[in-house]
Amino acid sequence: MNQPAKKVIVVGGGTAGWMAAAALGKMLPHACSVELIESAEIGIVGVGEATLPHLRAYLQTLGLDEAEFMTATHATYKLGIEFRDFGKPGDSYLHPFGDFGRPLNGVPFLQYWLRMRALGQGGEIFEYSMANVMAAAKRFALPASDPASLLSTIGYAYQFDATRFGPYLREFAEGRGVKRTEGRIVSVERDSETGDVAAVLLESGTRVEGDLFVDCSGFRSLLLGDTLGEDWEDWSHWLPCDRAMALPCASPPGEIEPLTRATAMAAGWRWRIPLQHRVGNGYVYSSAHLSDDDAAAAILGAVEGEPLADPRLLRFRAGRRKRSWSHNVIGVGLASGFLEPLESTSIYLVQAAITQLLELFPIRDIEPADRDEFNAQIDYEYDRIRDFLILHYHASTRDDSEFWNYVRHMPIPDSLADKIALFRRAGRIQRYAHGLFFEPSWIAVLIGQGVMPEGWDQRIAAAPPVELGQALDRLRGRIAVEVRALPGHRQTLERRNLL
Amino acid sequence: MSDRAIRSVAILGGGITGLSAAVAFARALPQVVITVIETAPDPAALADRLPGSMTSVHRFHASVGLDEAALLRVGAAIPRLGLRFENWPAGSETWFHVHGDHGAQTGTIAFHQLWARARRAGQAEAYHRYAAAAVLAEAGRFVHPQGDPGSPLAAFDYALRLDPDRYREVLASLADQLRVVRTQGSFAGVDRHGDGSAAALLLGDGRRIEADLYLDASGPAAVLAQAIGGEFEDWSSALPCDRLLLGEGPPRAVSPNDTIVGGAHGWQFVCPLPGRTLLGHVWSSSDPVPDREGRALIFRPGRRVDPWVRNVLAIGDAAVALDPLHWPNLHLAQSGIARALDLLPGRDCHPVEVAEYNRRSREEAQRMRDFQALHYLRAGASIEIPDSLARTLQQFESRGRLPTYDEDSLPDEIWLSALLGLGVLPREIQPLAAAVDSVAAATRMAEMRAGLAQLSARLPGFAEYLARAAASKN
Repeated sequence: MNQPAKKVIVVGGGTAGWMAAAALGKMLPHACSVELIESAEIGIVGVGEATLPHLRAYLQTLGLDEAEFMTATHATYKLGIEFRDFGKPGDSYLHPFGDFGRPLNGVPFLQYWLRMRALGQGGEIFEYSMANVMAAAKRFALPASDPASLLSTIGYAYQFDATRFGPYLREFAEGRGVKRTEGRIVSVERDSETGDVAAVLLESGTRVEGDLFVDCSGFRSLLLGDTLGEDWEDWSHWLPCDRAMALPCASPPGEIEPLTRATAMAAGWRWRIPLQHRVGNGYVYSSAHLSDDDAAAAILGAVEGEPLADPRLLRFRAGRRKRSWSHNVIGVGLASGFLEPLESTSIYLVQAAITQLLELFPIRDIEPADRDEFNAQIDYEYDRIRDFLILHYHASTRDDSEFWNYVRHMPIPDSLADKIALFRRAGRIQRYAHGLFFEPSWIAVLIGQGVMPEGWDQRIAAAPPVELGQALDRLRGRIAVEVRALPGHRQTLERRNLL
Repeated sequence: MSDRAIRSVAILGGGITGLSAAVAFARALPQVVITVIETAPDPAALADRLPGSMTSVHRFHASVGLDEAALLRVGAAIPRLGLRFENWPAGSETWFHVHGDHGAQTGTIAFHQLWARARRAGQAEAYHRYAAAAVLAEAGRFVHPQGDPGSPLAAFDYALRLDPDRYREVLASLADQLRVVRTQGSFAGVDRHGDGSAAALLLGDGRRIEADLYLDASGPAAVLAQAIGGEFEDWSSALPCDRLLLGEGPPRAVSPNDTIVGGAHGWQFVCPLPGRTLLGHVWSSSDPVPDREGRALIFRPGRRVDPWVRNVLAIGDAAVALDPLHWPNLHLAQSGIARALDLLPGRDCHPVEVAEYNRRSREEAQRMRDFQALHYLRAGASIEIPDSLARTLQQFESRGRLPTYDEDSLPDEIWLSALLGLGVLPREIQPLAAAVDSVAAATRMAEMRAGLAQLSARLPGFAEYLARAAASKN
């Protein structure tokens, strides 16, 4: 069991690099030493300001203090993602971090709602989500552990300044023995026999050897892509957006919305992420359908506050490397693949790769089976998120631009078509044992974008409609009343001394 | 869909499987007319004939409104804490397979990781000794799991042993209460619509039974499903046993366990019920047991590739045939029934829901096959290891990691109890777990053991507990 510690080289010091280094430094102090190489000359992408609730597990695992983290990154709370104008212009719905009602007699709540809806009652499904009603009221309180409380049905995430997350983690990681080396990598040395990466050479002439290389070099994919030439699986025919024009602006006065907003645009969509000190904005678009200048003009015209910088262009492609772990190189984050930030999944994907790496960290030599296992897990994650994203474009009746006409009509993966067909019949959702996007997420986006089940579970037929209607009204009423008693988002941030 | 909802269900087969389906459908869909055609029992319909269940039986009972205390009172059921494995693998020490927690996590590190390291160092008792259920099982004691979440008695589970005849009677009387129509008859054929779906069941006495949905619960011959079509996938390369001899013995001292005994020719089980003991011998025809061959039940391990075709759904042995090891038969039958209700289509039996049902069924059944195959592999049988089991073994043997499968109905604790009980000791543990100090871990393990060892002395014997429970309920 007393194996010599592995020397792990993390290439790149953005969000992915420091998340990986901090986790390895904290969790595997006996199994590895960690050195991170970053260059101040190379900027970081620093998008991914919006996160998913899973990030909380990362912080907890590392033992990081939430308040300290939120202060350091100017973070706000987030209850979900609001989608505007996706299904059709004028539409709006929230993908909330939380459940819709509760199952009754083993039958999902959605089914009771579908039944009442067929009778013209029951209102909107979104009225049964505590997280949704809280977000709409711009209120926020932490979840409760008492299962009787409606606050136990919510989850939350953060919106933060990603450029500050890396430095925050750097301090933590360096305190746990992670060595940071400043320098630009100019070449990569491979073992002539195995093809593994043996060392990277820095501009300064320094040669850095390692057993395991974690490629966090971003879109350049220095080791996994450039050096090993790992094949790319292109998904741009499903997700044609390939650029983003980012533009931070000043916060508007008043309440801070505890939500990220995605608003459909002529050639894509734009994000709006309220942080403590500013609002992050950006237009994600397809360059085949919109010029960069027009994108910049559009985002400048759309933001509500004073712009705090010039619009910044980002280029990307939707897809992933066929294998995220090849030889002794593990791609984490953008080096392994990219999915547009429509559902705030970028940091989640970094975290998923780190979690799998910790689980499958080599004990002696790298076992091909462990590598295959890692790649299979990452594939699940990417494929599921991909399908979920495509749904936002596919389930739309927008016909007001060439872009929307394309995405509305494009062929979709069979795996997604099956999920939609199953839901359309009677509101059933395929279940996963683990991974992202469980029932409530699919319900929110499907119903939010107008995919309405044609039928419902026959077990509901036995429930008397009058009593059922009353029970639903009571639940809606209770949520509305409880939310009115909650503090505003800003007030909660202030009370916790975060603002 | 309400106007296209299923109005009637005809169930072929009146054994435990068919009646389970009848009461579950009747309870969930009181507006549906349900008819059970009680055909002559097929001796090879193991879900109808065996006494074993898994812990999922409680869920089934809750869904149909069957009270465990009432089942105990009429002698239809008796709790089972575990399976006592003797000589499996050959020559190994006796071990217990039980449900529920084994040990406790250290932070996010699973107990079995730390146990495996200590075991390699010769510093751990058998894995089951860290499970409350197994400690009680080994001491012949029993209580129901206790509510207080801090108590070691909160985190275990148990299954039920069923007296097949009495359990069937309970289901039959519940079916009657729920206005299920039960009628005796024999299967003579099926009338089909132009699209190949069933239009009516034809019975031996000339009756025609029409329904929107037909369930084939007739046993492994699956006469109805077979008439509609579909293939059978043979699993004998992974599961060697295909012969079963059932017997009965005089009552034995009641025990909270069933006993499984490995041997030279297959294996045997002993299942003590109130008033009698059910015995079984399971073996492979490729390794025949000379004096028993003629009297044996013949079965063929495998599954219908599509248990649901058009408006005919095969459940129980008609869908999946497995030998009795770990009592998967009724578990899979009742799981299939619950799945059918979760995904019930309209009377058109739309291919979308049917395909989803078949997909989930396949994944669930394959994992059960893998689970049994693991036992035969460890007993030294030469089997073809399915890929999904090979993945589990590779990950577990190399680092104690258990890959998850979406539709696996066996919780991790069940797999771990079997893997470690069968002596699949991980070569190494995860680097994450290795970070936990081994001396501190050993101390914690010793404390756990001491706590559990004391526990059993304070608790009643199994017979005493059952008697007390019966007295207090009466």
